[in-house]
Amino acid sequence: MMYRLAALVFALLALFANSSALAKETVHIAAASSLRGPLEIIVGNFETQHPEYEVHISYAASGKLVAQVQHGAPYGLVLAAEPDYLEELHARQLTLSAPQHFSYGQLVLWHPQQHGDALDILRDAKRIALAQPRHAPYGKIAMRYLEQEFPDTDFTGRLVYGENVAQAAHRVYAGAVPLGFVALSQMLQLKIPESDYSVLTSVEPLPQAMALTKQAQSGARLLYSALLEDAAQQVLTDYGYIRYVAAE
Amino acid sequence: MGTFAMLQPSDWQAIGLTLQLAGVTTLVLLLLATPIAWWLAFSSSRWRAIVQAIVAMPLVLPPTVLGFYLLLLLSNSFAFTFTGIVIGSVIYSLPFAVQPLHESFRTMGRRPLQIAASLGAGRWDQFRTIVLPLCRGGFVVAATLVFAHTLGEFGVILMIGGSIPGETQVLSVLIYDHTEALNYRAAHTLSLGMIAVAMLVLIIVYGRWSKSPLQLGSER
Repeated sequence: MMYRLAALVFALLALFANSSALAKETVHIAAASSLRGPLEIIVGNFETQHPEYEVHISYAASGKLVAQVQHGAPYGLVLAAEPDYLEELHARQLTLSAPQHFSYGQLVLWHPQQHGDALDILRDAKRIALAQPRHAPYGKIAMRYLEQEFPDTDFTGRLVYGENVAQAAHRVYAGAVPLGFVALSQMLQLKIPESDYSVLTSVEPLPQAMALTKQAQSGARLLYSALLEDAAQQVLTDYGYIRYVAAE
Repeated sequence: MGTFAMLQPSDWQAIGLTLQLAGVTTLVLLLLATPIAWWLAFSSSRWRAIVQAIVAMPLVLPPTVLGFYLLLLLSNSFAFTFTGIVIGSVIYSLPFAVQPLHESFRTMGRRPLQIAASLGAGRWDQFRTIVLPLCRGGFVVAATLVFAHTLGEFGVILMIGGSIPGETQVLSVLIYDHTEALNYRAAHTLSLGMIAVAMLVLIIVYGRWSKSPLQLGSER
């Protein structure tokens, strides 16, 4: 029994060790959870145009990704939902250059169970989902929005924190929480009817920023340039991002 | 079977990676846990209780504690690599390997070895011809439990491995990723698959556990 089990394990190991040894160059990149929709398409197009690369994306809250890079994660390119965390990486000399903005993301309130004015809905809300403000940009501006619109209300006890904005959306999607602060890109990715969410324009959109890390190889560099090109910018606009215009 | 045909290459990659992690962890732990369990079973050192406590620690500590210190320890070396999550898994599953072996060595006792030694059997000979057959049940249970426990690992791997496809994105982490992507169909398929595997493994383990140690030793 022992020998047979060991033989089986070895056979499996050999099988998977071989199948993973492909000739393509693997490009590890990290991206904010809110970018999943457009990025899957942009990277898909990139891989079609550059079949020599295979891009692996890890999604998490921007703050978490940056912490992972500090501990030696192998990402060549990091896409964050705001520039602050990348500035931190840059200050520690872990990136090749200062963060590059590539578009602007908007905060929305997703309220599938009731329709109407976002402020009214929030005032009476029993539970509100949002991303953890400490390491997720959309959580951070959600808090800013609440403080700005309801300076005298303490929402503590009504806020349900997700690890990142995708977790916040997941809670609302599953019906566990009636409403939540999420990204406009997520609403467009899920094709949510416009009456189910409100774009919160009273807070500044989040500058989406990227930076190449010390581990960046040719694939990461190519993808970095591709994100600033028209084709990628168009995909981002389709997902509700405001187009990046380079300063003269 | 139809549902499994819908799995994406990335899902298969995670399945392969998970089996690879569980396989390597099991092999490493059997080699590592055997001497520890042996020492625990036969030593009369006053350090025994302390070593036993250290071995059992991963059962009590939350994965965040292990993950936190492992991340600091492996930072900029093995963090976010396959080797890193193997190290994490070995520590996390250590009690699952040591405890069944310890139990099985204790049940066997010193006597069979003393007899073998008196007949002139060397150390390796004793291990191969006496310990392995007599404690086979213990080894099988240890291997199965470690393998199964590693399949179900999540917190430690997420903390020290991140979610890097093909490197550290094992099944449990991929299922978490699918739920975040609101890809419920893939999450269901993989989750149901894991439930089936877990059930199978546990039936095997309990099927063996319920036999007495004597039967375990003498069966062919």
